[in-house]
Amino acid sequence: MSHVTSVKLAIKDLDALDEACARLGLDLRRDKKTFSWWGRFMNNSIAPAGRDPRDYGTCDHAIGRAGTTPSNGNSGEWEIGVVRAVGDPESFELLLDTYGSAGHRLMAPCGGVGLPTLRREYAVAVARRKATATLVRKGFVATREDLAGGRVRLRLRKR
Amino acid sequence: MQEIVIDFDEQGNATIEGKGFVGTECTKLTKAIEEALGTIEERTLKADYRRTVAVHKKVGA
Repeated sequence: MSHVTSVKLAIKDLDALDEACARLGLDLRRDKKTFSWWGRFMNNSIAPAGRDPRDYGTCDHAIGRAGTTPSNGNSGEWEIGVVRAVGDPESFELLLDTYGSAGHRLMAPCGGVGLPTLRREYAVAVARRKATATLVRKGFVATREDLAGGRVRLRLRKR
Repeated sequence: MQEIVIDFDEQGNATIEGKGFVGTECTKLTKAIEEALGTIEERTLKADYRRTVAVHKKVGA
């Protein structure tokens, strides 16, 4: 054994995000500059830190359920906005409207509030892609194990 | 046997552990993965990290 490192996730790799979305039945819609939501800020919730409610609905890329057509409004088909992080232009944040059935329908494949399953699948995709690019050519073989409690283990073992 | 185990919690935060490596080899191999994932919160070096490897080089062969 030589070291143990704990890493806090940041979303930086769109190809890995694309892979994570596909695994969960979602589409990453690159360069789509708006994401669908309720459509109007109702002033009944706290704006995310550093965000102006007047900019809600604008993004750099969008994520939606595969095979659906996005639309605003109460019974709409809403999307997740992939937006440059405040104070870190190399990373992206995920913004979405969580209200009502439209919000819950969008969050369901992502693990609910906080989108944990989408974040986890993104992290696994990033690590797998990097491992393929660096370690597999050095003789390591990558295997994935799905563990209890929503945890995943990626094991890289030298042949 | 050399092995790198990456555990992801349900939020996607990762813990990376190297097994069977000597010296800085493991951190060199995992650097790209760590940087791609995000911010390193904590790094714990194990005893093997500080062990050096004796290299016997045949000269003039």
